[in-house]
Amino acid sequence: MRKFKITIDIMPIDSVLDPQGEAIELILKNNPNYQANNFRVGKKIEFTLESNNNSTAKNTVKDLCEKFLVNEIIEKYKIKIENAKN
Amino acid sequence: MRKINFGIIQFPGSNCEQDCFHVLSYVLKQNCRYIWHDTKTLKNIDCVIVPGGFSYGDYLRTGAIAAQSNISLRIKEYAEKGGLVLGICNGFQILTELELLPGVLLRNKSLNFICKDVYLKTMNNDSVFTSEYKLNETLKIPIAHAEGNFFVKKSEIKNLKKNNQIIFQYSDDKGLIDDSSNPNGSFMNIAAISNKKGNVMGMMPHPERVSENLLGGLDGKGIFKSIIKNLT
Repeated sequence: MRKFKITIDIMPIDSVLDPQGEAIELILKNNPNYQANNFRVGKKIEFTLESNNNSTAKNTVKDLCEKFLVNEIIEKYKIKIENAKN
Repeated sequence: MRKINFGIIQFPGSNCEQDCFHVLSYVLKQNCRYIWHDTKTLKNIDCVIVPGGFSYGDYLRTGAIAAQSNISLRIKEYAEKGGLVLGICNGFQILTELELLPGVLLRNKSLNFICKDVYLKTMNNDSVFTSEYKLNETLKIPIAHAEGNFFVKKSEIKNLKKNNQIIFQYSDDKGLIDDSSNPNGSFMNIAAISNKKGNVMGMMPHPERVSENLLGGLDGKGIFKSIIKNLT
Protein backbone atom coordinates (compact mmCIF):
# COMPACT_ATOMS: atom_id res chain seq x y z
CA MET A 1 0.00 0.00 0.00
CA ARG A 2 1.15 3.51 -0.77
CA LYS A 3 0.38 6.63 1.18
CA PHE A 4 -1.09 9.61 -0.64
CA LYS A 5 -1.74 13.19 0.37
CA ILE A 6 -5.19 14.19 -0.82
CA THR A 7 -6.40 17.74 -1.28
CA ILE A 8 -9.98 18.54 -2.26
CA ASP A 9 -11.02 22.02 -3.32
CA ILE A 10 -14.75 22.55 -2.94
CA MET A 11 -16.57 25.53 -4.46
CA PRO A 12 -20.24 26.50 -4.74
CA ILE A 13 -21.52 25.82 -8.27
CA ASP A 14 -22.12 28.88 -10.42
CA SER A 15 -25.91 28.83 -10.12
CA VAL A 16 -25.78 28.92 -6.31
CA LEU A 17 -25.83 32.35 -4.71
CA ASP A 18 -22.76 32.82 -2.52
CA PRO A 19 -23.63 35.50 0.05
CA GLN A 20 -20.15 35.30 1.64
CA GLY A 21 -18.53 36.12 -1.68
CA GLU A 22 -21.05 38.90 -2.22
CA ALA A 23 -20.35 40.37 1.22
CA ILE A 24 -16.59 40.47 0.52
CA GLU A 25 -17.19 42.10 -2.83
CA LEU A 26 -19.60 44.63 -1.38
CA ILE A 27 -17.21 45.88 1.28
CA LEU A 28 -14.32 46.09 -1.19
CA LYS A 29 -16.37 48.43 -3.37
CA ASN A 30 -15.55 51.07 -0.73
CA ASN A 31 -11.83 50.58 -1.31
CA PRO A 32 -10.45 52.16 -4.49
CA ASN A 33 -7.13 50.26 -4.16
CA TYR A 34 -8.59 46.99 -5.40
CA GLN A 35 -10.43 46.32 -8.65
CA ALA A 36 -11.51 42.87 -7.50
CA ASN A 37 -14.74 41.20 -8.53
CA ASN A 38 -16.57 37.88 -8.68
CA PHE A 39 -15.63 36.56 -5.25
CA ARG A 40 -16.72 33.01 -4.43
CA VAL A 41 -15.93 31.37 -1.11
CA GLY A 42 -15.28 27.64 -0.90
CA LYS A 43 -13.38 25.25 1.31
CA LYS A 44 -10.37 22.96 1.20
CA ILE A 45 -10.05 19.54 2.78
CA GLU A 46 -6.73 17.70 3.23
CA PHE A 47 -6.11 14.17 4.43
CA THR A 48 -3.88 11.14 3.87
CA LEU A 49 -5.06 7.95 2.26
CA GLU A 50 -3.54 4.51 1.89
CA SER A 51 -4.23 2.87 -1.43
CA ASN A 52 -2.62 0.51 -3.97
CA ASN A 53 -1.89 3.09 -6.62
CA ASN A 54 -2.87 6.50 -7.96
CA SER A 55 -5.87 5.20 -9.84
CA THR A 56 -7.39 3.29 -6.90
CA ALA A 57 -6.75 6.32 -4.68
CA LYS A 58 -8.60 8.51 -7.13
CA ASN A 59 -11.59 6.18 -7.22
CA THR A 60 -11.77 6.03 -3.43
CA VAL A 61 -11.59 9.80 -3.06
CA LYS A 62 -14.22 10.33 -5.74
CA ASP A 63 -16.54 7.92 -3.95
CA LEU A 64 -15.92 9.67 -0.62
CA CYS A 65 -16.66 13.06 -2.22
CA GLU A 66 -19.88 11.88 -3.85
CA LYS A 67 -21.18 10.13 -0.74
CA PHE A 68 -20.10 12.50 2.00
CA LEU A 69 -17.61 15.33 1.57
CA VAL A 70 -19.35 17.17 -1.26
CA ASN A 71 -23.01 17.87 -1.94
CA GLU A 72 -23.15 18.00 -5.72
CA ILE A 73 -26.52 19.78 -5.74
CA ILE A 74 -24.68 22.92 -4.63
CA GLU A 75 -20.95 22.20 -4.84
CA LYS A 76 -18.26 21.24 -7.35
CA TYR A 77 -14.82 19.89 -6.48
CA LYS A 78 -11.30 19.19 -7.68
CA ILE A 79 -9.13 16.39 -6.36
CA LYS A 80 -5.34 16.63 -6.07
CA ILE A 81 -3.37 13.46 -5.31
CA GLU A 82 0.31 13.57 -4.28
CA ASN A 83 2.69 11.11 -2.71
CA ALA A 84 2.67 11.65 1.03
CA LYS A 85 5.93 12.41 2.81
CA ASN A 86 6.47 9.84 5.52
CA MET B 1 -57.56 5.25 21.64
CA ARG B 2 -54.16 3.70 20.97
CA LYS B 3 -51.18 5.83 21.93
CA ILE B 4 -48.65 6.54 19.20
CA ASN B 5 -45.00 5.61 19.77
CA PHE B 6 -42.82 8.55 18.81
CA GLY B 7 -39.04 8.24 18.59
CA ILE B 8 -37.05 11.45 18.91
CA ILE B 9 -33.51 11.23 17.59
CA GLN B 10 -30.67 12.77 19.61
CA PHE B 11 -27.40 13.71 17.95
CA PRO B 12 -24.50 15.45 19.69
CA GLY B 13 -25.65 19.06 19.32
CA SER B 14 -29.41 18.45 19.03
CA ASN B 15 -31.18 21.02 21.19
CA CYS B 16 -34.91 20.89 20.41
CA GLU B 17 -35.55 17.28 21.36
CA GLN B 18 -36.89 18.14 24.83
CA ASP B 19 -39.39 20.61 23.37
CA CYS B 20 -40.70 17.88 21.04
CA PHE B 21 -40.77 15.38 23.88
CA HIS B 22 -42.71 17.81 26.07
CA VAL B 23 -45.36 18.48 23.41
CA LEU B 24 -45.82 14.83 22.49
CA SER B 25 -45.71 13.37 26.01
CA TYR B 26 -47.26 16.02 28.22
CA VAL B 27 -49.42 18.10 25.92
CA LEU B 28 -50.64 15.38 23.55
CA LYS B 29 -50.28 12.41 25.97
CA GLN B 30 -48.50 10.06 23.57
CA ASN B 31 -45.69 7.57 24.14
CA CYS B 32 -42.35 9.09 23.42
CA ARG B 33 -38.72 8.12 23.78
CA TYR B 34 -35.32 9.47 22.86
CA ILE B 35 -33.15 7.52 20.45
CA TRP B 36 -29.39 8.17 20.68
CA HIS B 37 -27.60 8.60 17.33
CA ASP B 38 -25.37 5.58 17.89
CA THR B 39 -28.32 3.20 18.17
CA LYS B 40 -28.24 0.50 15.51
CA THR B 41 -31.91 -0.43 15.49
CA LEU B 42 -35.20 1.40 15.17
CA LYS B 43 -37.93 -0.79 16.65
CA ASN B 44 -41.55 -0.27 17.71
CA ILE B 45 -41.68 3.30 16.48
CA ASP B 46 -44.72 4.73 14.66
CA CYS B 47 -43.16 8.06 13.81
CA VAL B 48 -39.58 9.37 13.90
CA ILE B 49 -38.91 13.00 14.79
CA VAL B 50 -35.53 14.43 13.77
CA PRO B 51 -35.37 17.56 15.92
CA GLY B 52 -33.62 20.88 15.54
CA GLY B 53 -30.22 21.91 16.83
CA PHE B 54 -26.67 21.98 15.58
CA SER B 55 -25.80 18.32 15.11
CA TYR B 56 -22.02 17.88 15.10
CA GLY B 57 -21.63 21.65 15.30
CA ASP B 58 -22.93 22.04 11.73
CA TYR B 59 -19.44 21.05 10.56
CA LEU B 60 -18.76 20.33 6.86
CA ARG B 61 -22.36 21.15 5.83
CA THR B 62 -25.41 21.36 8.09
CA GLY B 63 -26.71 17.84 8.64
CA ALA B 64 -23.94 16.17 6.61
CA ILE B 65 -22.16 14.45 9.47
CA ALA B 66 -25.38 13.42 11.24
CA ALA B 67 -26.50 11.82 7.97
CA GLN B 68 -23.56 9.37 8.25
CA SER B 69 -24.44 8.11 11.75
CA ASN B 70 -25.77 4.65 12.57
CA ILE B 71 -29.28 5.84 13.29
CA SER B 72 -29.51 7.88 10.08
CA LEU B 73 -29.02 4.77 7.99
CA ARG B 74 -31.84 3.11 9.98
CA ILE B 75 -34.04 6.18 9.47
CA LYS B 76 -33.43 5.91 5.72
CA GLU B 77 -34.50 2.26 5.65
CA TYR B 78 -37.48 3.05 7.87
CA ALA B 79 -38.64 5.87 5.57
CA GLU B 80 -38.11 3.80 2.45
CA LYS B 81 -40.44 1.19 3.92
CA GLY B 82 -43.09 3.88 4.41
CA GLY B 83 -42.44 4.89 8.04
CA LEU B 84 -43.34 8.47 9.01
CA VAL B 85 -40.42 10.83 9.49
CA LEU B 86 -40.67 14.50 10.45
CA GLY B 87 -37.55 16.66 10.32
CA ILE B 88 -37.64 20.06 11.99
CA CYS B 89 -35.00 22.71 11.23
CA ASN B 90 -31.66 20.83 11.56
CA GLY B 91 -33.78 17.69 11.13
CA PHE B 92 -34.89 18.99 7.71
CA GLN B 93 -31.23 19.63 6.80
CA ILE B 94 -30.31 16.08 7.85
CA LEU B 95 -33.14 14.58 5.77
CA THR B 96 -31.94 16.41 2.63
CA GLU B 97 -28.39 15.18 3.25
CA LEU B 98 -29.83 11.67 3.60
CA GLU B 99 -31.52 12.24 0.22
CA LEU B 100 -34.89 11.41 1.72
CA LEU B 101 -35.96 14.90 0.65
CA PRO B 102 -34.84 16.84 -2.43
CA GLY B 103 -32.77 20.03 -2.31
CA VAL B 104 -30.40 21.63 0.17
CA LEU B 105 -30.73 24.28 2.88
CA LEU B 106 -28.16 26.96 2.11
CA ARG B 107 -26.93 29.84 4.26
CA ASN B 108 -29.61 32.52 4.68
CA LYS B 109 -29.36 35.13 1.96
CA SER B 110 -28.69 37.84 4.59
CA LEU B 111 -26.00 35.66 6.26
CA ASN B 112 -27.77 36.33 9.57
CA PHE B 113 -29.06 33.82 12.05
CA ILE B 114 -32.79 34.63 12.04
CA CYS B 115 -34.94 33.94 15.08
CA LYS B 116 -38.47 35.34 14.78
CA ASP B 117 -42.12 34.49 14.18
CA VAL B 118 -43.03 34.05 10.53
CA TYR B 119 -46.26 33.29 8.72
CA LEU B 120 -46.72 30.15 6.68
CA LYS B 121 -49.37 29.39 4.11
CA THR B 122 -50.65 25.81 4.04
CA MET B 123 -50.20 24.69 0.43
CA ASN B 124 -51.08 21.04 0.95
CA ASN B 125 -53.40 19.75 3.66
CA ASP B 126 -53.71 16.37 2.01
CA SER B 127 -50.63 15.21 3.91
CA VAL B 128 -50.42 13.02 7.02
CA PHE B 129 -48.54 15.91 8.61
CA THR B 130 -51.02 18.71 7.83
CA SER B 131 -54.51 17.22 7.59
CA GLU B 132 -55.64 19.17 10.68
CA TYR B 133 -55.15 22.47 8.84
CA LYS B 134 -57.32 24.03 6.15
CA LEU B 135 -55.92 24.52 2.65
CA ASN B 136 -54.42 28.04 2.38
CA GLU B 137 -54.67 28.51 6.16
CA THR B 138 -51.97 30.85 7.48
CA LEU B 139 -50.05 29.88 10.59
CA LYS B 140 -47.71 31.84 12.83
CA ILE B 141 -44.72 29.68 13.73
CA PRO B 142 -41.17 30.75 14.69
CA ILE B 143 -38.00 30.08 12.73
CA ALA B 144 -34.52 29.97 14.27
CA HIS B 145 -31.79 29.18 11.77
CA ALA B 146 -28.78 30.42 9.81
CA GLU B 147 -29.16 27.87 7.01
CA GLY B 148 -32.78 27.78 5.88
CA ASN B 149 -32.46 29.04 2.34
CA PHE B 150 -34.05 26.19 0.40
CA PHE B 151 -32.35 25.49 -2.92
CA VAL B 152 -33.32 22.83 -5.41
CA LYS B 153 -32.09 21.89 -8.88
CA LYS B 154 -34.21 23.29 -11.70
CA SER B 155 -34.93 19.77 -12.91
CA GLU B 156 -36.50 18.95 -9.54
CA ILE B 157 -38.89 21.92 -9.39
CA LYS B 158 -41.43 20.42 -11.79
CA ASN B 159 -41.58 17.26 -9.68
CA LEU B 160 -42.12 19.22 -6.46
CA LYS B 161 -45.12 20.97 -8.02
CA LYS B 162 -46.48 17.98 -9.90
CA ASN B 163 -46.37 15.71 -6.86
CA ASN B 164 -47.79 18.35 -4.52
CA GLN B 165 -44.64 18.16 -2.36
CA ILE B 166 -44.66 21.83 -1.34
CA ILE B 167 -46.36 21.81 2.06
CA PHE B 168 -45.78 25.31 3.48
CA GLN B 169 -44.58 28.55 1.93
CA TYR B 170 -43.51 31.69 3.80
CA SER B 171 -46.20 34.35 3.44
CA ASP B 172 -47.55 37.42 5.20
CA ASP B 173 -50.37 37.18 7.75
CA LYS B 174 -52.94 37.29 4.94
CA GLY B 175 -51.29 34.50 2.97
CA LEU B 176 -49.61 36.68 0.36
CA ILE B 177 -46.42 35.03 -0.86
CA ASP B 178 -43.75 37.43 -2.11
CA ASP B 179 -40.14 38.51 -1.55
CA SER B 180 -41.03 40.66 1.45
CA SER B 181 -42.41 37.63 3.28
CA ASN B 182 -39.38 35.47 2.45
CA PRO B 183 -37.13 35.51 5.54
CA ASN B 184 -34.13 33.61 4.21
CA GLY B 185 -34.09 33.65 0.42
CA SER B 186 -35.72 30.23 -0.01
CA PHE B 187 -36.62 29.26 -3.53
CA MET B 188 -40.36 29.95 -4.07
CA ASN B 189 -40.62 30.91 -0.36
CA ILE B 190 -40.56 27.19 0.46
CA ALA B 191 -40.64 26.47 4.20
CA ALA B 192 -41.62 22.78 4.16
CA ILE B 193 -41.63 19.95 1.64
CA SER B 194 -42.44 16.28 1.66
CA ASN B 195 -41.04 13.39 -0.34
CA LYS B 196 -43.02 12.09 -3.31
CA LYS B 197 -44.68 9.35 -1.27
CA GLY B 198 -45.67 11.84 1.44
CA ASN B 199 -44.34 9.90 4.45
CA VAL B 200 -41.34 12.19 5.03
CA MET B 201 -41.64 15.92 5.71
CA GLY B 202 -39.03 18.53 6.47
CA MET B 203 -39.79 22.01 7.74
CA MET B 204 -37.57 24.88 8.88
CA PRO B 205 -40.10 26.51 11.28
CA HIS B 206 -40.52 25.05 14.78
CA PRO B 207 -44.07 23.76 15.42
CA GLU B 208 -43.01 22.35 18.82
CA ARG B 209 -42.47 25.91 20.07
CA VAL B 210 -46.10 26.92 19.45
CA SER B 211 -48.12 23.95 20.63
CA GLU B 212 -49.57 25.32 23.86
CA ASN B 213 -51.09 28.66 24.78
CA LEU B 214 -48.70 29.20 27.65
CA LEU B 215 -45.85 29.44 25.14
CA GLY B 216 -47.58 31.90 22.88
CA GLY B 217 -49.69 29.95 20.42
CA LEU B 218 -51.18 26.75 19.14
CA ASP B 219 -50.46 27.04 15.43
CA GLY B 220 -47.84 24.29 15.46
CA LYS B 221 -49.90 21.74 17.35
CA GLY B 222 -51.80 20.74 14.19
CA ILE B 223 -48.66 19.06 12.79
CA PHE B 224 -48.47 16.64 15.71
CA LYS B 225 -52.25 16.21 15.92
CA SER B 226 -52.34 15.37 12.20
CA ILE B 227 -49.72 12.64 12.66
CA ILE B 228 -51.57 11.16 15.65
CA LYS B 229 -54.93 11.25 13.88
CA ASN B 230 -53.55 9.61 10.75
CA LEU B 231 -51.86 6.83 12.73
CA THR B 232 -54.82 5.92 14.95
